Amino acid sequence: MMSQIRTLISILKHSFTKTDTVQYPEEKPYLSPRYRGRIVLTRDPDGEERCVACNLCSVACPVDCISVEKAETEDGRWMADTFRINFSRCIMCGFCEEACPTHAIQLTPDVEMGEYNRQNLVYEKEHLLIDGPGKYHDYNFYKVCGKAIGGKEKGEALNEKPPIDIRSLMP
Amino acid sequence: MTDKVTIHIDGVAHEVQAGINLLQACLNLQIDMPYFCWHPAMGSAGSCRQCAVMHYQNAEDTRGRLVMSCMTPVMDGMIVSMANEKAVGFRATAIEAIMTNHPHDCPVCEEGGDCHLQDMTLISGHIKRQYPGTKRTHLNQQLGPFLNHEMNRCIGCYRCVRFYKDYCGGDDFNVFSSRNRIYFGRAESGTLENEFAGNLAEVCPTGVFTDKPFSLKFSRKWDLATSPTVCTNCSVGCNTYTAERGGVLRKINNRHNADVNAHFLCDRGRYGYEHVNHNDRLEKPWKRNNEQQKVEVLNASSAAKQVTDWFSQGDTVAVGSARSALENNAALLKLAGKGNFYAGVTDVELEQLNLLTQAAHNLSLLSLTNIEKCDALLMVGEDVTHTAPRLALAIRQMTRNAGLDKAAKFGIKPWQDEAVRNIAQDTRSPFYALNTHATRLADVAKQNIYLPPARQLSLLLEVEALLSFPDDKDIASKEAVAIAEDLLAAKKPALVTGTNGANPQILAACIRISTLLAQKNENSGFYCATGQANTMALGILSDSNQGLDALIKRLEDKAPKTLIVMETDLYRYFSDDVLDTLLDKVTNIVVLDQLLTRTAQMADLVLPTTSYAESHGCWINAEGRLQQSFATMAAIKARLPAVQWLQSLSGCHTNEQVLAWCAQTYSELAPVQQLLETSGSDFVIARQPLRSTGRTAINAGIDVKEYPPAQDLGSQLEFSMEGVPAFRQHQLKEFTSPPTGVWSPKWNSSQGINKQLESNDSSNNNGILLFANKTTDASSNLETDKSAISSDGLSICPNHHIYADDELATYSTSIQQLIPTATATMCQAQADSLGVKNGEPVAFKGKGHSLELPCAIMPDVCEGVVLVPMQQFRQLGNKATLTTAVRSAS
Repeated sequence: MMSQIRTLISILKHSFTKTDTVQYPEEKPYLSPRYRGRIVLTRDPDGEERCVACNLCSVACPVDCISVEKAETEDGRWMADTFRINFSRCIMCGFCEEACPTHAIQLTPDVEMGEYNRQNLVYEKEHLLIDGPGKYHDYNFYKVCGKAIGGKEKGEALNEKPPIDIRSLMP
Repeated sequence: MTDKVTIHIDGVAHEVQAGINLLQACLNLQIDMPYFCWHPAMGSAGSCRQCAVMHYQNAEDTRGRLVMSCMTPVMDGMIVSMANEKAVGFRATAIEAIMTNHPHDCPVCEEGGDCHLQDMTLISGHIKRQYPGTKRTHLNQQLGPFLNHEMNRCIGCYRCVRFYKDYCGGDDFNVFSSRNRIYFGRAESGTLENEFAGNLAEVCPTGVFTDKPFSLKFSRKWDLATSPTVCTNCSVGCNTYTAERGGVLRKINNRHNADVNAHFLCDRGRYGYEHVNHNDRLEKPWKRNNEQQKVEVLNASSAAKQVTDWFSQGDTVAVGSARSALENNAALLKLAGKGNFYAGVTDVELEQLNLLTQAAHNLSLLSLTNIEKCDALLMVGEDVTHTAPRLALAIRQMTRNAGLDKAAKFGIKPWQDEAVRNIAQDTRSPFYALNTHATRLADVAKQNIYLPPARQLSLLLEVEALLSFPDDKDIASKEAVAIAEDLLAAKKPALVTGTNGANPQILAACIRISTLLAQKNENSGFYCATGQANTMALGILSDSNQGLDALIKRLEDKAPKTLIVMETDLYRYFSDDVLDTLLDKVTNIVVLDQLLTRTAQMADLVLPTTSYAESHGCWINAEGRLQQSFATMAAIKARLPAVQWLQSLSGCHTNEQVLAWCAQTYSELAPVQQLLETSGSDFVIARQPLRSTGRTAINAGIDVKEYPPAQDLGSQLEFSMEGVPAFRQHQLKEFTSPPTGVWSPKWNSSQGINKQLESNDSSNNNGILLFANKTTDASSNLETDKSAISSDGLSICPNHHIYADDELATYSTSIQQLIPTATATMCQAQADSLGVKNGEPVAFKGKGHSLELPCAIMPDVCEGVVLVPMQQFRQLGNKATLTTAVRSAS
C-alpha cells in the first residue's frame, strides 16, 4: 500500500519537472563547439587550404569512408585533388580530426544531415571546404614544415636556420 | 656458406650463418635491430651508430663494451646484449641526435608510411622531440624526371653516395661539406646520368630521394594493392612489385629475387610502366566499316564471332609478340598452325634465338647472381647497359671480385665495405668489352676493344683457336692472347653477348667459345641478352625463317585472306612505304593490342588486350628462366587477354590449358608441368595491404552502392584485402605465388625485406630454369648466313639506348624526356673520310626504305662503323647501306 502511494507521489512530482526533450526542429538543443557532427575542411590563417592530402584521416577512419587523392601545385604545396567523405558510412567518431597533422579536418556541431537519397550523403571537397580556420585559429602547417613553397623558401619556416652554403669553408 | 656458429643474444643461444655480421644475423633471426647505413648489397659503413649492442668478452665479463653490430663479425660463442640499458640508451640518443634536424615533413613526404626512418625511430623508442633549437636547412636540386630531391630530410647515412658512386660507378653525384652541414647531390642541378639512379628512392632510408612520377599520382603504401610481376621492359626479367590503386598503376618497386635482380632495378624498368595508364590504351573492339567510312564499336561476343568467321574462311596468318606472355603466343600458334605463325621479331633475331635455344642445353646459362660471382668476363657485340641494363650492374659487381679476394687474404670480410675498397683500390677482375663503340662499362674494363663487326668476329675466331691451342700465341693478336689467357686462368669465366647487335655469326662464335670454355672449365658460363621480355619464348615456339621478314615475303608473294597481328607494331620493323601497300593486299587484318599502335590503325578489327598489369602470364628471360607474373588489377572495359579472345579458336580457355599444351608439345617447355602441378592451395592471398583505406568512399563519387570486388579466376590472389596479408605470406611455405608485398611487423618500409632474405633465398619462387638439364649431345647446328657481315667497307651498326629502344617504355613521359635525338654517330676520322661535318645529314637505304640522319661525332667509335639508333636500324635492316653523305650548301 505504502509503496504504491510513494510511486504515485513520485510520478506526480515528475509532472512538474522541466522536460529534457525539446520540440525539435522548432526548438534546437545547444551543441557545444566540440560536438562531433558534420565534417568540414578548414583553411589556414592565410586563407589557403589546410589539407595536404597526407591520407592520415583516411587511414584512421574505422569505416574507411574518406578517400583522398593528392595533387601538387607548381610551387610545391600538396593539396587534395579529391577529398570525398561518404557520410552514409561515417560514424562521427572524430578519429580523422585527431589524426590530422594540419588541423584541416574538423568536426562541427551540425548534425542535421538527413537525406532521402543516399547518394546525396557523398560529400566532395567543394562541399566540405569552409572559408575559415575552424576551431584552431593560428595553426599554419607550412610555417612549421621544412618543405619550401611559394612565398616561403628554405630556412624561412619556424625554428629554421638559413640554408647552408655547402661551398663555404667556414667552420 | 652453410657453416653455422652459435651466438648468445640477451642470454638466448641462436645458431646463425658464419661469416656474416652481427646485424644481419639479428635480422635473419627476426630481431628488430635498428640500422640505417648497412645495406645487404653494399655492406656496412658503421656511420649511423644505430645498431649498437653490448659485447661481452666472456661469461664473467659484466661490463662489456659497446660495438656496432654491423661492423662486428659473428663469432662462435659470442655473448652480446641488445637489451642492455647502456646499449638501448646509446641507440635512443643516437636517433634523437639524427632527428634533431629532420623537418616536420611527414604529411607532405612521399616516403611517409614507407619510411625506414619512421620505422627505426619508433623501434628505438624516440617518440617525442626534446630538442628546442633551430634546424639546419638545405637547398634542393633538380635531378631530372625520375627523382625528387629534398635535402632537409637527410640523416647523413651515406647510403646514396655509396650506391651511386661505389656500386653503380656513377661520377656525377657526390657528398659535399661536413658534419651536420653534409650534402648529397650533384655539383650543380641536372639530370642524374646513371641508369640506376631510380634505386636511390629505395636505397635512401628516408625521403631525400623520392620517386617523381609516383609523386604525380601519389598514394600511401598502405593503399597500394600490389602483386608480384616480372618486368617486361627487357630480357633480364627482373622481379618487380607493381602497385595499383583505383585502376591506375602507380609505382614499380623492386622485388627481391636472389637469382635475378636481387635488390636493384634499372630506370627503364622502374619508370617504363606508364603505357598501362596511357590515353592510347584500347578500350573496346573496333571494326572498320569501309563502305560507310566509319568505325563500329562491337561488343565482346560479336567481335569474337567476327574473328571466328574470318578464321573459318581459311588462309590465316598470325604474328606473335615478343612483348606478350607465353600463353598468348602459344594460343595464337596453336590456332594458326606452325607454318602460319610468324614470330614478332626480325628474321635475323629469330635466327640468333634459334642458335641460342639449340645450344642452350649445352651451355650453362648464368643467372645475374652467378655473373656477379665470376672472375673473368668477355662482353661481346653490345653495350648491355642499354639492352639489358640490370646485367650491366651485375658485370660491374663482377669486376670487384679480384679486390674482394685480395681483401679476403687479409681476413677482411666482403661486407667490410670501406676496408675492402681501401685494399682493392683499382684491383679488378679482368673484364673485356668488345664492341663497335665505347660502352657504359668502359671505366671498369681491363681493356675496351672497339672494332667493326667483321673484325670482332675475326678476333673471336682467334680467341676460339687460342682456347683450343693455347700455345699458338704468335699467330694471334695481342688482344686475343690477353682475352684467352684471362679466360683460361679464371676459376669462373663468363661470356656475355646479345642478340641486339643483329649478328648471328658473332653469336655463333660466342657460343662456340663458350662451349670450348665449358669443356675446359665446368664453372664457366654464358649469358645472351635477347631483344625483348619474351623473345626467348618466341625462340622456343617458332622455327627459324618464320620471322617478320619472312612474313613480308609471304605478303608480297600471296597475301593471305586474314592476318592476325598480336601485340606487335609492324611499323617498328618496316617503314610506311613498305608496309602500307602490303597491308592493303590483306582482306581482313585483326590486331590484338593494348595500345593504338600504327598497326592497330591499319586494322579491320581491333581487339583490346590487357597489359601485363592486368593479366597473368609466364615470361621467359634470356637465361631461359620461366617466371610467372600476376595481374595487379582487374581488366576493365572490354579488355581481355589474348588467350581469352582466341579461346574458341585455339580450344584453350585458360592459361593452364595453354601451358599444358605447351608442356606436351615442346620438350623445352616440359618443366612448365611443375607450375600446373603446384597450383591449387586452399588459401587465398590478399593484394591489398591490411590497412587499405577509403573502401567505402573511393567509388562513392560514381555510385554510393558498394559493389563486390572483381574476381580473379586465374590465380589465388584476390583483388581485395581478403586472404593472407603480405607480411604473413613469406612465413608460410605452401604458397605458390611470391608474397604480394614487403611488410614485416613494425617494418612498414620495403626495407622489411632485409628480415626475410634468408627465407627468400631458399624460396622456390625464383622461376623455373628451362635449360637446366644438360644434354651431352653437342650437335647443335651453328651454321649461319655468312653474308650477314660485309668484311670490307663501312658497317652500319645499331646504337642502343636504354630509354629509346623499348617500345612500351617510351610511352612513359619521364622516359620520353631522356630519349636522345636520332643521329648517325661516327668518329671524326670516319666523318672526314665520308666528307660530312657534325650536324650534316647522312642518308641511308635498306629494306626498301631510305632516311636521313644528322651526323654526330663521338670519340671511341671505331673507324669503319656508322652507328644508327636501334629504331632506325630495325627499319633499315642489317644489310643497310649508306647512300650519300649530302654536304650542306653552306
